[in-house]
Amino acid sequence: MEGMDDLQMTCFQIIAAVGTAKSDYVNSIALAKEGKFDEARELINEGDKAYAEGHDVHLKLLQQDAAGEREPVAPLILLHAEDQLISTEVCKLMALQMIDAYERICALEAK
Amino acid sequence: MSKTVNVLIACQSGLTSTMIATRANRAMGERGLNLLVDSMPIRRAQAKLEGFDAVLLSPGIKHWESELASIDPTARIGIIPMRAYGRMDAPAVIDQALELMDEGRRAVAEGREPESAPAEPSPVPDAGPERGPGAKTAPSTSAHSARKLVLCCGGGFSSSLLSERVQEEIERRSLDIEVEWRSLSQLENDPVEADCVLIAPQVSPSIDRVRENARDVPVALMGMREYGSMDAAAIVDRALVLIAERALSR
Repeated sequence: MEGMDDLQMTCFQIIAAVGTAKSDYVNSIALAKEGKFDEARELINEGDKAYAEGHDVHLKLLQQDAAGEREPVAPLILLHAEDQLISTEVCKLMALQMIDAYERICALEAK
Repeated sequence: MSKTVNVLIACQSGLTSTMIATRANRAMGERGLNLLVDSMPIRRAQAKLEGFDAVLLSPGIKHWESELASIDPTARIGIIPMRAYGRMDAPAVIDQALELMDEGRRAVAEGREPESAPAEPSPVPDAGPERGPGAKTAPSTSAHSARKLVLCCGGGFSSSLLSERVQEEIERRSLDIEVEWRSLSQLENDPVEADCVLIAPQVSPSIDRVRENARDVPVALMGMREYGSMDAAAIVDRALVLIAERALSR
């Protein structure tokens, strides 16, 4: 069973990784707004790599939890990590849609 | 004499930055360094940039960088790398803050930046829930020559266990610092070309002469404990803070 310190470190790794991804997704929207669609999509891919790292670390937690190894009380940082994981996923969904939307807007403006 | 160096770490909600700041302050306190790390959620930080000598952003809010730079063009802002943040690497974060301050000073001194650099206009702030997504990241700091730390313990011997340890510590932290040894006689008579000078306790009676000769290069004593136990980490910390304090006095 992971001690509290280990759990804290694990959460930090997740938060750092998915946070980096979220930031990339937000920046990609701004790039699309400037008409840089290829760069925007490239940045989404960069974000995905960071996200994957966080996801891998999280998988460890899931496996431990499935095996019944868990702390009696979920620390705030764990809640934060879970929250960041899901909201980053939502961020990516929106970013992809917005890149497409800006692409169509740019095409319309060019006419 | 020494001013407190104030560093701000900001993250989205203030939770992770507070945990890292606590670690950093504990480490600084243990080493007796005059450096204070504060932490804030980004929404509060954007109004408080002025009070800090360096502002470091968690990787999760790097998209805020250009917005902050336009709020306060004189702020020295950096983004903490993902892995260092994930490891809660407080010493690495401190090093980054000190390097940021030093780079700011050098940019001003070398004329690469005016004293208060005008910011690029930020993107129209209506894209999404976050104010000011940063498509334009601040320009990366241009390459600069390594800082130089000069050490002296009287005799001027260049190879010693302490010298090796200081080198190793610098490499371990990936710092851009050259280390050289000088004899007391050199430090009292020759031009001193360095970013900071540290002298061993046994040479302390000569510190005033060294300071006079060194002009505006900061000179400080290595502590009895850190020199005696060859505490390379403490010595490198002291050098970094000296370099940073010099940046603040401009």
